Amino acid sequence: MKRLRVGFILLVLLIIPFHAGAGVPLDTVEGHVNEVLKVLRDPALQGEANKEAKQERIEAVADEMFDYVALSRLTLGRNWKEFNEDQKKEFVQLYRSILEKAYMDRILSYTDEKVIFDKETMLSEKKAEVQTHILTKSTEIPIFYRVYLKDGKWKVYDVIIEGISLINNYRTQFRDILANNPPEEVLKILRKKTEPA
Amino acid sequence: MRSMDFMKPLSWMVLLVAFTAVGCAHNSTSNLSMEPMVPSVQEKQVTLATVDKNPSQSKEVMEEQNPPAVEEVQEEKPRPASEEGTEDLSDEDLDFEEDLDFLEEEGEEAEVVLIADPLEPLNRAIFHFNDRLYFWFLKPAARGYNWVFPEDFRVAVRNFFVNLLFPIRFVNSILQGNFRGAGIEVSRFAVNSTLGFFGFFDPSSRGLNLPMQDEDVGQTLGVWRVGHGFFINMPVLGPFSTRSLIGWVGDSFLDPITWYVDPLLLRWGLKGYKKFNNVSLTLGDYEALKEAAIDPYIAIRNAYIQYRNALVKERGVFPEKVTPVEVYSSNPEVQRASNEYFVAELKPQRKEGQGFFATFRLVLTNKTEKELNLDWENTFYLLNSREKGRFLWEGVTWDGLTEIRGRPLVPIAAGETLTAVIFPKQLLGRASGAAPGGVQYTQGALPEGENGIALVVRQNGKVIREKMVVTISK
Repeated sequence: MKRLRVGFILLVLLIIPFHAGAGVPLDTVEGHVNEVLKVLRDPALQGEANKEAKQERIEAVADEMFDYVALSRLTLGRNWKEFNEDQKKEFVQLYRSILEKAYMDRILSYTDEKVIFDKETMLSEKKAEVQTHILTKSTEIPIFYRVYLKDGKWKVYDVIIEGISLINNYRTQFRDILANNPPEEVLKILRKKTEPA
Repeated sequence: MRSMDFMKPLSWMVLLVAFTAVGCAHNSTSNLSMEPMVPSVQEKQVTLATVDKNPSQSKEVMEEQNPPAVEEVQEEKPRPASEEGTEDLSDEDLDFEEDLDFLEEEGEEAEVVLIADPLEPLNRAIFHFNDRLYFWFLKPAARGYNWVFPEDFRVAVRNFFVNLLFPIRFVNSILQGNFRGAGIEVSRFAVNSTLGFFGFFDPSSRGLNLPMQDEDVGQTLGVWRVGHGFFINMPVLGPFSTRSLIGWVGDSFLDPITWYVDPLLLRWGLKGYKKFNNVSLTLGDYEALKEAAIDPYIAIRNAYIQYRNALVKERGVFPEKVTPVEVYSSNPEVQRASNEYFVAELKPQRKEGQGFFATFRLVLTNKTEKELNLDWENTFYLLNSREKGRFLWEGVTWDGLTEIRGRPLVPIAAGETLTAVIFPKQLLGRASGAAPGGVQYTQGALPEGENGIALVVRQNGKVIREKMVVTISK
């Protein structure tokens, strides 16, 4: 009897790790990040001439990875309701290109830093935080992805680097503008910012 | 200090490396702190009631509960706590599509992150000054410096200064009650000063798994629940909060350079060089941040505060429950009513671990030989003699709230006693994240004044009314 129980416990212990192991949210994020790394390391895409092709491939992954509507909505918070349908659509587009434009160069300057996927924490049934960090030659940068389940897929709705939430950071900026201006003003600023220089 | 490194970087997700730059900005100068709380924020927070434990009226309490959420300040229209807190839950609120729902919550939660900035015009002027300083002098100089000295050399220099600041991290780990961290720092100092050749190398971090404990006086104050104060942008030095500036002064007393390097000019020169070397390792971060921002000043202010909050949160504020400044009391503690049908008792109950009341315990004993029915439909919450909506009781889930329309009469058999924990629907707030059992709301604080119940009990078509009221005050 006792032996049976021990056997049972062992069995349970053996099973647990499989369940506790990486879940879908982490796998999803890891998959996307690895795809980007693959593009960056692709020997066929090296050199200045292929920069644009590289950029396009990365943007394609980002579109799959991020839910820009959720990102926009969370960034605007209460002000989201002040935007009409067309304005919302335009905002999502502009915001997306701002983020892409701003960070593409940095992503492209990637060399041989390692990305480590630490763990995922379920925040609720449909929300999770995937913790990762980047190991560079001289430092370590924690980057957390907040994801939620949308139509069966885990989509990123916030990125937290060194404790700094992206949506939170932009929110304070937009809010400052929207405190005294209509939504159109925000769109105007964003349009100007995304214009090709 | 690790943050001062975000070197060039990174890989893709990086999406925002930039933000990290901020961390660097100040961190290299040293350290500071975080934490929130400015009166206006407070109000806002109360009102949002997004966090499940939270709509406390007490500043202390809030800080401890949501350290991350707090900081910036100027709410466009800080609504009075009462207004939002008492907003009734309309059906519209309840019928929200679920997956969008959480976004909403998240949004509100995030809404709260700000710091007071009464000096904004001055701070912005200094921001421009620092910006020019960076682009006109610092950056060109650092480029020349980088051209002469390879990255490895500059990293070694940084390591040397970091190692030298061991006393700051050691003392503050102790002050934060983190003795393990203090031990790690001692080991690091011993290893890096010897094997690491006077600290120029850092074998502790990578090989030995002895991570640096990035602690400073500002963080210690945060752990001790000192608030941020307001935002101060210093010429040359960059962003601070009142608290982190005080912390920075404190840190300098723990900096060996302050004590052992004479004369003054050399001392400042060394500290300046330390900072300059750090800047040389993070060229590009500030530019990226600026490029990504809509309003770079606000972006940096917010990132700085978020970053400092995260540092303190990592360690956790001191766990002892400091008695909240505002403790509410109820007079009388228990209100009783009695008639020929029943005996009733109403007792306000504090929210767990808090100084305010959030629920009532209602005890009703049937004195008759027949069944009594408690009529929730016609029983109301009384606030200063006015009916303010109905009651809910413990165990009702968020979804359940919508269905509660046709409240049943609750039967109490002859001689039986009913005990229920009830709370005004009026004061409910939405909790963020689902608690076990699917409870997604949080009970708000019973406000000061007369709180009570207008009770309706029925027996065979007969209606028995009874009012019970207690006075709640601070």
